[in-house]
Amino acid sequence: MFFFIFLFNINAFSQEISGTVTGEGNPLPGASVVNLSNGVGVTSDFDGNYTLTGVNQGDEIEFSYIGFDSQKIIFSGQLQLNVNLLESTTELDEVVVVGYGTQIQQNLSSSISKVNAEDIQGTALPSFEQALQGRAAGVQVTTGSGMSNSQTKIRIRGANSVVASSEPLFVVDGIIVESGGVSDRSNGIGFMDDGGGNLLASINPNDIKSVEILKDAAATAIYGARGSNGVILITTKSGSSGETQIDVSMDMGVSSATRKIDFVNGPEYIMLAQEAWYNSGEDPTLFWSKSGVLVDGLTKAQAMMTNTNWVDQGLRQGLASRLNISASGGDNKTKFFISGSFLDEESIFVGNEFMKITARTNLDHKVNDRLNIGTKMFFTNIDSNPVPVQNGVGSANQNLPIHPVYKADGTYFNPIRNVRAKLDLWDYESKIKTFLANWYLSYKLTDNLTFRSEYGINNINNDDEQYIDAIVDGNSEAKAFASAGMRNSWNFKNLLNYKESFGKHRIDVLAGIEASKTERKTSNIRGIGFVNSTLRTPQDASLIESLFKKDAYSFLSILARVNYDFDSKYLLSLTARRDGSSRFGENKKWGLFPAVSVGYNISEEEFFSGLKNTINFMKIRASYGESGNAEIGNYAYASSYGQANYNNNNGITLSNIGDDELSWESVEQTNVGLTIQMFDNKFSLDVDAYQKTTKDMLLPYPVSLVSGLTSVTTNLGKIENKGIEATLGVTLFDTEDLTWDVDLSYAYNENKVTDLGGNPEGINIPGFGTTSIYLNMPVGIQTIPIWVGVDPASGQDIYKGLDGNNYTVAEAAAQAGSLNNFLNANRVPFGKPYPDFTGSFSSSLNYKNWYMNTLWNFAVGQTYIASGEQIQGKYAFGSMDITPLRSQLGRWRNPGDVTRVAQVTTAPTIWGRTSEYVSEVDYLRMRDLTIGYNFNLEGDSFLQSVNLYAKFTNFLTFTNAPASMYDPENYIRPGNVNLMDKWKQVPQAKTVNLGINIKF
Amino acid sequence: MNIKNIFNIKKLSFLLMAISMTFIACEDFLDETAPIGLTDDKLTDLPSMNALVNGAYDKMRGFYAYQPMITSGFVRDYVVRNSANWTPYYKWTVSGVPQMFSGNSYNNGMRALNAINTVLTANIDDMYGTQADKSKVLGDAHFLRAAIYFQLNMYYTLPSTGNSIPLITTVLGTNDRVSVATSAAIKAQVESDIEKAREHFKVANGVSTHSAATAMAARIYFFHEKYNLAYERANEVINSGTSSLEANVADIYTKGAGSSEAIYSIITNRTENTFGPQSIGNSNFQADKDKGVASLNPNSLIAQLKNAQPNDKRFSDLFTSKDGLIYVDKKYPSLDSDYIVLRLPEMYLTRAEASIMVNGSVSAAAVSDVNMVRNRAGVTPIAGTPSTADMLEMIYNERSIELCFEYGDRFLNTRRLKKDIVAEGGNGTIPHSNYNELLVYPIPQSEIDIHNLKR
Repeated sequence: MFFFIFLFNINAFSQEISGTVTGEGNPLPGASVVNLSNGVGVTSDFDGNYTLTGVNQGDEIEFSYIGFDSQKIIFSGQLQLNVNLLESTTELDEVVVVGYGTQIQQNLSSSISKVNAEDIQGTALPSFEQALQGRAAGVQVTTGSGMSNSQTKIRIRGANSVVASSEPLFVVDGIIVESGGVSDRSNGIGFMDDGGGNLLASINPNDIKSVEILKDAAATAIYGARGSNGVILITTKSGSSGETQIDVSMDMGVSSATRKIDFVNGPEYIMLAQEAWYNSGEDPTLFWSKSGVLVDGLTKAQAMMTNTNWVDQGLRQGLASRLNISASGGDNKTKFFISGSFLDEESIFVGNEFMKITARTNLDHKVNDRLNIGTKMFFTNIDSNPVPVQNGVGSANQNLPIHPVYKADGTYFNPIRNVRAKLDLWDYESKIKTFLANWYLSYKLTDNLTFRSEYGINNINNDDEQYIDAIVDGNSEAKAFASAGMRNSWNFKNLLNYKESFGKHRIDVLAGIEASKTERKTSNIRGIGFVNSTLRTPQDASLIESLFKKDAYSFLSILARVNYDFDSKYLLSLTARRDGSSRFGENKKWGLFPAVSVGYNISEEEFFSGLKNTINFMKIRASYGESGNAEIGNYAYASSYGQANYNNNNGITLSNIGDDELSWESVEQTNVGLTIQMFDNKFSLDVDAYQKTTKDMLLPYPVSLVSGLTSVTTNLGKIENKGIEATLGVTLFDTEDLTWDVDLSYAYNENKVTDLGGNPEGINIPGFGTTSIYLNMPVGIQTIPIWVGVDPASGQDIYKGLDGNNYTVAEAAAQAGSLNNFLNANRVPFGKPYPDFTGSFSSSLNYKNWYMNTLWNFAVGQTYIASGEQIQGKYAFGSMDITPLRSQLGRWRNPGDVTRVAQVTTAPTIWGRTSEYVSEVDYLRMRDLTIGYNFNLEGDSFLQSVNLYAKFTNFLTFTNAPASMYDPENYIRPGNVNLMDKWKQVPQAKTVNLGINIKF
Repeated sequence: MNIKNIFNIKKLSFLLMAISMTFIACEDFLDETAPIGLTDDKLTDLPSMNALVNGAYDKMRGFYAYQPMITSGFVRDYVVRNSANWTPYYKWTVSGVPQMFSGNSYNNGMRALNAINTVLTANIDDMYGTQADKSKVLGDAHFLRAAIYFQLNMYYTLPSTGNSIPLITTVLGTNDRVSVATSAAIKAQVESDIEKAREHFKVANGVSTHSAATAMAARIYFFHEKYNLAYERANEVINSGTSSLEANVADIYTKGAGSSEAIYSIITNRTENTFGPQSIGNSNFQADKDKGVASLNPNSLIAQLKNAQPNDKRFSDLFTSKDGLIYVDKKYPSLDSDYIVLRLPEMYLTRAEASIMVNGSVSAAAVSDVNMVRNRAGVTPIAGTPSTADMLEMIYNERSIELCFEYGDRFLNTRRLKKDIVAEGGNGTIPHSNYNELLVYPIPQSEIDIHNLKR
């Protein structure tokens, strides 16, 4: 009876209201409508319609939707209540893309950095991901070089591996995409040293809406065996209903090398060479006739008059122009975003040209209230002319300044070494086509349960042709090369997503299965020797060699995630993914990668209300989990014999020793974080501390040649990365005329090897150089002998023996039989391959119609060991065909001279690296400065906005790097080994761009 | 059936299909075997044994690749122009022998030995095939093992201890550890292998032949200073008549393996492997001032001999004078020419010297052997019977001229006779006692580290 009265009572005073929730004019399905007075809530249907019962006069009703500012309305008896929500401008309500879904910032308990479109679009860097440098704490980005299509190295929270790739996983609109190099030039005709291009450079930066970087295990575990290096999620733009908006932007830029290596000039070279000749007891009168400096018919008189800067023969001023057009819009049922872009670039490298055309169509269509379908299709066509690095500008030191570029008759002087001849007569055309697309279907099974099925493909084709003229070849043979590469990937995933609120409890459950496969084929043909120089394809050659490669890998995964929050106060997220891959050994096919994270929004607590005016928001987070690295090679687990034919008979040779236990590397990571916003959100601070341990590190374990190979791939040892990241944001001004935001980010990471199985003395990684891994030292160091200095008495180098004593060159040779023996026997682990800390400072200033954005990056504490320019330069006069660095001028000359450069002699080159070549490389660089003006437009103008800007990239650099380096942002090589040693360095570019952006 | 029902059925079946597709395919889907390359479980028949032997011969290209350059550098027969790479060999007295090129013989040798030992430890008796087919495979395997260990032992033995490199005759796993063997132990193994090769090749010739194994045996015994056996084997090769001297010296090198005097050659086929002695020899020795890097050292023994008899066809037909330099280009006439490891004149010179060493006196036959080589080169034959000392000196010079810039005989023979080597600037000489311990190839550091090797 009482119950009925109670019901009656409510009915007597309460009402029903209905209406539509829209967001920026578009219906919002799934918006939350809650009567805050009694906690009763509903969600809007597919057209944004809702009906809420039991509403009393004076009740406060809240309309909310992620990514939009909530509205609270006091009910005053309306029957129809339509609400239009505005897109959120505060960071907390911002939508963050996470793997396989989205979350709002406030409810996030894992560590994810978001980079907005404005920071990427219009970048003058070769690829969009290079613009991420300095935009997210703990994400270290190194641009390969100033060459078009150059590669990028990204380390998120340090290097996890020794030889397995440590590059993050790239996911574009939900599809895991191939990254890294494009062209496979195996069995090629000349060493390019450019890494084969950059697949990511195909992406159009202006299509990107946001980039999310998943850093901790809670965020990356949803990508299981492929997540441990961090994940970079790229979301492209989509249309919104309303009038069609057309956006046109154009820019033009010029570029030049940030700086150049400093070599001696002609007269200086002659002086040093004659001095070395004399110092080695040679007859000074025979210098010109016997030393070998006069080649290709050069006379002494000509040599004395020549002063060539060979670096300038390989570098130039670059030019680039970009055009980007996009149209977006739609209606209630269909939305679209269509874009096209064009880039034409001549980089700072002589002969390097790059042309890129991209086209994108993103479509979303609502079939009915329950069914949504859509597609994203992206096509790129690249036509580029890469140029050799080591054999191009990198060979500048293998020419002498006393050698001319051209002879009197206009032909190339000594073409086989001549930088310009090699660049001019080394043709390379690379055509790349990529197609990246996905199609989805999303069906609402119930109001809370959605099924989504998505199929994606990623096709990459490259077609490379190369021709090297006979006159630049050491054996006078013209060479041609043709390569066709193909990569086809598909990805099929089916996801179920259940969202429900029970009062203040909110739950979001995701479950899914995903299968993917990538197949790759490469056909390379090399042709050597031609009858006539008009013949330029391998087919016409006298000697034709072919190479065919084919491989594939597959993944099968089951994934699940539960996000729970209570009143947006207590946050919990559980993630697990089970991954199987064809790459893993027979006994280790499947791996499980779980993670958990918790968050606590303290500022939402009652007891915090007193502080809330000062500290607007405060969250503490913690996470723990495991993810993996499956970049271990496709067939490393299997033993095999490769082809090694002899005299047209089948021959085989051992090529891999397999291991049924070979598996992924797994990375355990613990993360704690704090987020604070203060003073009306004008001050924000994000701090994260983490500890990561890579277990079962993949190693090319050096084995003895007696087994038939120099290394086997095995899972062994541990690496630890631990560090702190902090991002501080301050709004200095926020008025109608003037807004000024500054951000400061800082990241400290410590990398060390903590376990090497039964090898406490360290492991020498086979291959080039002397890279070793040692306990309690970072991965990537080298073992080198310690150079002490130059003996003032004799002018000889002094090296430190393992016995602690110092030895001059003569003493070392006497002690060990030879200097080579001594240096080999007295090596110690040395160097700091990674900076101690990195960070950035960025500022965004708007004053009336003017704006100025800038980004400065810094990195401190890295050491760099050597380059060919240094090593060959030190022994330049042993062969009289190398130009030394200008620092050689400070050589020892007379007893008593205190100097760092030994006496110059004609002693032969000692190829080993020593600590003599070590330098500290710290830098502070202005990565970006953009100054722009937004024009005031008449109200009736057909234009919506017009914006003019000037963009300066890498324009200022402050560094202590020696003059023997092109640039302190030193890519060196992909991977994590031999990080302090690159044979020939590559310059970076600084650019100035002028651009205009018009919206219709 | 109304429209709504159709839609529901479609929806359901799609869901079912989608889910089943990903699950049913499960285990098969993850089976991705390498489409290229042979797995180790297939090595059970003669064709795969043959393929292993051929793979080992392919490794011999790399094994011999730098040998002529390094050893000719040791005896200072050439000088280097404008090449930072080769200076260490030419100025070895301070820097020692660097790893850079010498490591190639160790690396390729060991990898070839892995294939050879796989063959020699396989159960070939039970494989399907004729005895001749089996003898071919076994003959080549023993022949290559002898050839590899002979050469490695010659260059890696440290004279002061008599220790050399590890001796491996089985297939070793990655966890096996070895120690260095004495030079004497390796010599015994080499001699045993070359005799087994001869026995098998008697049944049927393989890639190499019975006379190649016999000639290799003569070379081995000669440098092992077992002159009676060296004499016997050289004698057998010459008397077998399987080889005959080429009329024109330049033809030897252009014909390569096809030359009538070539006994054991490594075939060059650039579609199979561009790396080998011919590519190194041709690019370094080519008669181009700016492209080639090595030319005759005007102070070398070879240059002195050339000045003494400039009309010797081995100088006039094989060397090119240009730009004030002398190029030794015609022994590596092209990038496609084969590399002859062993040819008949060495057998004549070996037989002549071995007979003197065995008998202690010079026979008419020994003089006639040397004159065979001299006559073909168009130089005046030795008249009468010189004294033993004179004759030995003549044979030394003859071997030097005949075999310079080839396999490395110049260095091995100079060291065997403890003769001096021209010093760096041509001013004076370096005695055997100084270079003997210094001109030893370094064992790769990684091998020293793994096995803790001490010579």
